[in-house]
Amino acid sequence: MTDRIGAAYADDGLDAALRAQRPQPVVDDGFTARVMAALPPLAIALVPAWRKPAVAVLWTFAIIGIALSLPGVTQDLVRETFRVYTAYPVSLPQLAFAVGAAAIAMWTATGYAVRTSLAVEG
Amino acid sequence: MLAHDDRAAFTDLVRRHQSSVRACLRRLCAGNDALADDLAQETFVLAWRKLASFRQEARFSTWLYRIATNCWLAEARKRKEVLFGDHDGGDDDSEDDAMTLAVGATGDPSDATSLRMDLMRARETLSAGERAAIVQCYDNDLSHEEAAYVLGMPVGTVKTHILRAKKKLKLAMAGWE
Repeated sequence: MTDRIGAAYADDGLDAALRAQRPQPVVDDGFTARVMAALPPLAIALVPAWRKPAVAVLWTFAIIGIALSLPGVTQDLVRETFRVYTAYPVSLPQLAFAVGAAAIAMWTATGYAVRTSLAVEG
Repeated sequence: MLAHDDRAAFTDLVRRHQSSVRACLRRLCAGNDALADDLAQETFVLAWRKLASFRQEARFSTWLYRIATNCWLAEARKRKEVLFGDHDGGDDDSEDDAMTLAVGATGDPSDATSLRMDLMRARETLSAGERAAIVQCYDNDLSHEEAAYVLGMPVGTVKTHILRAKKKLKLAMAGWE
C-alpha cells in the first residue's frame, strides 16, 4: 500500500494524486434559496454601470452643441447672468451661505447617485 | 430567459452549479468555508446581473469560475493580500513551509487518508497564483487555455504557476517517496 502510494509521487504520479483530490460535491443546504433571495430585480440588474457617466457626457456634449449652434443666445445668457451677479452687492456671509447651499445640494445629489449605484451593484 | 425575468430558470442554474463554484472557492479560500460561501453568493448575483453579456465564448461553468475567481481576487485585494505577482506568497517562505511538511510526512506514511491530508496541507503552502492555477487545472479539470481565461492571465503564466506549484508539492511530499 505504502509503496503504491509512494510511487504516485513520482514525477507523473503527482498529476494523478492531485486529480484524485478533486473536491467532494457540496450539499446545497439552502444556498440556492439564499442566492435567489439576494438577487436584485432584473430591471435594476440590467442597468450597466457605465450608463450614468455616459449620460452625463452626452448631456455635456448636448449643452456644448447648443451653445455653439446658438452663439447669440449663449452670449446674451452669459452676459445677463454675469450682470445680475456683479450688479448685486454680495456680502461675505451671503457668499458663504451660497457656497454652503451649493455644497449641500452637490453632496445630496452625489449621495443619491451613489446609493442608487450600490443598489444596482447588489 | 432574461426577457421574461425567469427566476425559475436561474434557480435551476444555481442549483446545478452551486456545488462546483462553492467547492472551487473553498479551495481558493484555503478552508475558510464561510467566506467561500459568501463569495459564491456574490458570484451568482453578479452572474445574474451579467447574464446578458454571456456570449457563450466559454462554457457557462467556466464563465462562472471566472466570476468566482474575480470575486476572490477582489476580496483578497481588500485584505491586501499580494496575488499573482512574480513573488506572490514568497517562494522562499513557501519552500521553507514545504520542507517542514516533508519532515512531518516522514513520520508514518501508512494510509491514503494521511497522504491526502498532507497533500492538502502542502497545497496551503502554495502562493495564491499557484493555488489558483492548481484549483482550475486539477480540481475543476480545465485546460491551460480555459484556466488562463478564468484567471485572466496568459497561458504561459498558468503553466509557470503549475510547474512551480508541482515543484513545491513534490518537495513537500518527499517523505512519501
